[in-house]
Amino acid sequence: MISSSTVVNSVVEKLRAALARGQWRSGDMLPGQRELAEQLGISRPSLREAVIVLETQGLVRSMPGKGVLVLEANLDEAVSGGSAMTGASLEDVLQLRYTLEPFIVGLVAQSISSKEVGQLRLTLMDMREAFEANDSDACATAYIAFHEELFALTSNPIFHSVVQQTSNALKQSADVLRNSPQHLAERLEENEAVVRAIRSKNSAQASAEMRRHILREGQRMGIELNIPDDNLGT
Amino acid sequence: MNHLVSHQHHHDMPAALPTSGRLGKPSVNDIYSQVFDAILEQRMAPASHFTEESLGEMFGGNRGVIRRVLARLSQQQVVILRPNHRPHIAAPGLEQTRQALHARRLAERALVRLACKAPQPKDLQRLRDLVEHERQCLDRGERGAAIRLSGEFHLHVATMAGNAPLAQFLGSLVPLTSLAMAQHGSRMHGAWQVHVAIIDALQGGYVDTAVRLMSEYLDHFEQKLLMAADTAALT
Repeated sequence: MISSSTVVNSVVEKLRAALARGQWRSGDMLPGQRELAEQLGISRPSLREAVIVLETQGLVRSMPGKGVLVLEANLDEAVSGGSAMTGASLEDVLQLRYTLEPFIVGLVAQSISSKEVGQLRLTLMDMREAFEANDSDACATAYIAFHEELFALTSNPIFHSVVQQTSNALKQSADVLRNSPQHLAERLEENEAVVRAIRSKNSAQASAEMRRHILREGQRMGIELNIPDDNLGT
Repeated sequence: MNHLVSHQHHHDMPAALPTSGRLGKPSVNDIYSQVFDAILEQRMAPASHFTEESLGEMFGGNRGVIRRVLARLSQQQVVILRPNHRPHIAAPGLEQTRQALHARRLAERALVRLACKAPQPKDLQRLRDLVEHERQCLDRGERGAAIRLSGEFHLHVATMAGNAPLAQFLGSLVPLTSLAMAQHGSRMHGAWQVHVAIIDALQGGYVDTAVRLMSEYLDHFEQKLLMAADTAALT
């Protein structure tokens, strides 16, 4: 489940305040998750989300298996320079997704293993179950998870920061994802079409399906994207 | 370590664009430019050892400023920071560089298209200034500064697009590809001329031309890099 953004925001502020006080300095590791969550009196999932926000702000970096490294001493600069997503409009985020995701699914279609296909299909099944149970929160969660999995499957560190940013933006705008049943059904079908193309290792088809999905997503939000007339080359 | 500071006079000249007009205490931007130039000119080589203290002595900033410069370079994957280790300079491999260039192509085609919508005179002037400085640096043989200014040109086009997240994504790619260009010793020949043509296309609102020039520029960039890497492998 997505924890409520107010909890996460208050944790982000607590951590930023602690960093500003100099409780930890750049090069230090934050205390372990359990200890830190206890110190701040919050749940570990909320802490994890707060760390992701701080990471997109350039204040810390998660080091898998090691912990969280404190990076930046200057908070003002980190805010203005690091959190482009805060002021980003839905249109900006969709444009970014339209630029990168068709390419990403094209890559994924070339290299995916059958086990990984299975994982993607499981996430889609979560989405379908949530849809059938009319649980729009769970739909949004599964949608964001699907999005994150696609990026993770490229195993390309270049996209590491961008997926954190876009999924954060998706979480912040989760209201837009919790829309009418008809929209939820369309989104599910479009994502299923993407996975079918990936499964048959059809790179071009996967890209085309993702382009279609993001354009439709824009139409559902009433946003028209600036795209080339002829996007065969992208 | 003296050789590290021997080129500092360059930064009194137009090579270091006026990132801040103030005299006196150097800002994070000033020192960032100087450190990045030193890395691109390989006065700070991938194997070189440095610490916050030694950088502070070399470039004249206090520890807080140096720490912020390093944090920025680390976000850009130019410097690698690890807990309990000294910072060191990244050495992007060929495959990593090709991937970064491919990602740049995706991002920059979209960005230049958006930037064509309503380019402001002051932005076009800024681009012309950047190209002029790039050209002057090449004339003086300051290859590192020319590579950095070339990168700044692309980043400024990105800010003109008005899509902050997409521009930020590009910001994570340009310094890395600049570093690869410097380390693989590929030539900068013809770069500023293409940049001038891109400005003209932006100014005239010729979207297709601007997108084509941007793609061609990055294709050339990749070819030169591969050629340089081949040559390096043969020698």
